[in-house]
Amino acid sequence: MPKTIGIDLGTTNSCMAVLEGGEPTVIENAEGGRTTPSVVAFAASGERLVGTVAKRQAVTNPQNTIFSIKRFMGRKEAEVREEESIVPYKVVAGPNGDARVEAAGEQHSPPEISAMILQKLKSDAEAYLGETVDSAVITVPAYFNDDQRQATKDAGKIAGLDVKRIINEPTAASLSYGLDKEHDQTILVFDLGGGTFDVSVLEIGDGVFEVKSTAGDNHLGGDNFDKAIVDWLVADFKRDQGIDLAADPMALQRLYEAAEKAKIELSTTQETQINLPFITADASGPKHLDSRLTRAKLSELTSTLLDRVVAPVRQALDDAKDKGVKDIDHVVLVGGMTRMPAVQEKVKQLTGKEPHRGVNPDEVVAVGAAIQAGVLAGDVKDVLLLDVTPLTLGIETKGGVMTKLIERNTTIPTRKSEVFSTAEDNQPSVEIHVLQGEREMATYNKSLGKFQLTGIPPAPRGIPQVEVAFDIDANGILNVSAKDLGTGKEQKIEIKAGSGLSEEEIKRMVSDAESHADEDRKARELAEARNNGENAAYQAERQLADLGDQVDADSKTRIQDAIKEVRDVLTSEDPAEISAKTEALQSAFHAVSEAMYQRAQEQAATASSDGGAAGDGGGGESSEEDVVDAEVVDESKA
Amino acid sequence: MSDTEEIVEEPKPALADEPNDSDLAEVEEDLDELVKVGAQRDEYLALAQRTQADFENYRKRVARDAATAQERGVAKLARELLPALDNLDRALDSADKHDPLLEGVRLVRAELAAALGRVGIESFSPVGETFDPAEHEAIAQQPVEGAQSGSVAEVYQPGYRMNGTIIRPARVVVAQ
Repeated sequence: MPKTIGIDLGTTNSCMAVLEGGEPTVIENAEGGRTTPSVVAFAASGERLVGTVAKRQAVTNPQNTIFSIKRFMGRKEAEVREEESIVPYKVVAGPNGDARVEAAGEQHSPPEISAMILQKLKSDAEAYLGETVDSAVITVPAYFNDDQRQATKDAGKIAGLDVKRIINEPTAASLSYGLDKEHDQTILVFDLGGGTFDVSVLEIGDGVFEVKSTAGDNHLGGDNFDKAIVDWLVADFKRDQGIDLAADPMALQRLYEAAEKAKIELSTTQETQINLPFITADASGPKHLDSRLTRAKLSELTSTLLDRVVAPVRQALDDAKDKGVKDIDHVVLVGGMTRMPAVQEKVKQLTGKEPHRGVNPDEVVAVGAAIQAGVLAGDVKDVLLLDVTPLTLGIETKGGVMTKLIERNTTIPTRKSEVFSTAEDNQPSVEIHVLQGEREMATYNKSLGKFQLTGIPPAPRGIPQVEVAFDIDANGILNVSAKDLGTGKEQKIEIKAGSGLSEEEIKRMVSDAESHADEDRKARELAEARNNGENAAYQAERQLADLGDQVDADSKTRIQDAIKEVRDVLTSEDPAEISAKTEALQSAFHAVSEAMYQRAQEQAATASSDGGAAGDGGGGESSEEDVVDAEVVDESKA
Repeated sequence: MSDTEEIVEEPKPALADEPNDSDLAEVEEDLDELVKVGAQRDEYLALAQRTQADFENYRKRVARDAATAQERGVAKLARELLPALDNLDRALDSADKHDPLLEGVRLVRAELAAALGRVGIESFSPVGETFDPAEHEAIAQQPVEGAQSGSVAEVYQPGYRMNGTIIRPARVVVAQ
């Protein structure tokens, strides 16, 4: 089935995403990048290059390398004289006065150039998805007029895409945070990209977004910040060494790379080292650049740039206020530059709101476009909105411990089974106590129901195998079954959805678990220590009986004493104490089995099977791994 | 069903003596119901197929991604280390050629290159080749005597490829 993808067709970079199984995924391009430079080049060979490859050859072919085409989309040539003077390629007026690009001896309309970018995205997406992509949702800035929107739509058509919808970039960003589900809220979207800055105020009512105001700065972005760092490095170097690095293209390239790296690093650290050994050389030998850049210094270097965001934000807020907007409820950040702490600080200061976080700001618009595409393609339907279990489900096992089978937030329908065993010798039945909740101990969780599986044939503890299966269907109905794998006997219980828990109760149960995490962990540790100790004593006793005369009287007494010590300490409240005694018993048994093993070897008998069995019986750890996952509570104790 | 029958019959009491009509209405209603259920079935089937297809494709891609993930991890680490190797090259280039210490450093450099080679990473330095933006990044373009226009006149920084794919383009000066 052909796919509809979401495309953020940016001034500097473009990004695409698709909705799969209800989840948005960013699509990588053929070069493995998550974003693609919005650059098209016409090589001398007649070849057309798009993306990274076009960018790499730009200096050799400046007149035929087209970037920032978005600035010319749907514009008259007379309106864009300023932009024309900035770009190295030629912009001319078309027959109807539209801006056109002249490259490789031909005129190209901006939609044609954009279509070349879209075409690459389309074919890269097809290669990635292994499916045809025939349609797309494309985003545009909120301030785009009808002509600019139409031009974008045309670009899609030329690229062979059915443009399902053109949506505003700030709307897409809001969608990716699920803000369409809110009612009567206002959102400020702050978009500081590679080369442009846009701020928009939106209002949502009943899932419909309305743009209340927009403002921005067409020539402010990450590139300006990089340049500020590079200028500082160059000036410093000139002062110290008397050499102008700006004159050396390779040095400049290394400086820009280092500046960008430093900028990114300073988003998480307070200072960073910029090392560029052998950056240049003079008669006296090689010269190195070695500078320390602090976050404070970066803020100082870029303060004039940071100040440039203030006026547009204020203007957007004022304009929105004139249209009846009172307060801003949400702030959404878009563009890589919004990772910079100083930028986030500025936004918080201006809006008084903590911005939403979590979605990569470089990808947030494409992700929103993909969500819109999914809605239009019918992927997002009520029937498809799968639920999750709000709380963990499990059963009570020995020592009052809750053993989890299905973790909270698992998407349903789902099924999970685990094999348990008995806790006592000759235990005729097991009780399955179904629990819901996040606490470690059974008593603190909600009981959903209990049932017995009877008729288990007499067997030592740990031997019978009871498979407990949890199955939740799409309606949230839970079926719990227990099956004795030995006899094939089965019992089950059905628990209806909801089980009467309200949203608040669920929240309370989850937060309870968090606040009691420490004491619960201790209770569980104690229960586990007791189980282990009890088990080790039982195993040792049994092994001792099995081995009979093979163990000398002295060792026998020693082990029996150790068993007694373990049993005496089982009532202790200190898990460490119980574990210590358990370990003492185990090492006492190890010593005996080792001695026995040696003797057996000396006798050159087939010792391996005996020694192995003894080792097994003594080792609490190995018995845990080999025999059972956990043990079901004995019914007599319940 | 009995509720529905009453509703159908009530507005037409005059026709009550013609049982055929109510039967007809009932049949029509059943038919409507059937068509509705059929449409619903088609919708659900399409949905199930779509989801299944999505999943199959997803699984295939995940398997593919897993296979390339290791290679990517290696390439990522290499990319972070390459600047240090570049600087080692720069150091060796600018040093006095007859220093025994230099010889040792040269061996260290060779050792590093060999280590990269073992995981499939090799460098390339395309001097004299035709400029190809798929593998080279042009830093500058200038007239160079004796060099053919459009060819690589100088390599500022070697490129690296891993099992055929470019992990870093060579940085070059292109002859005008």
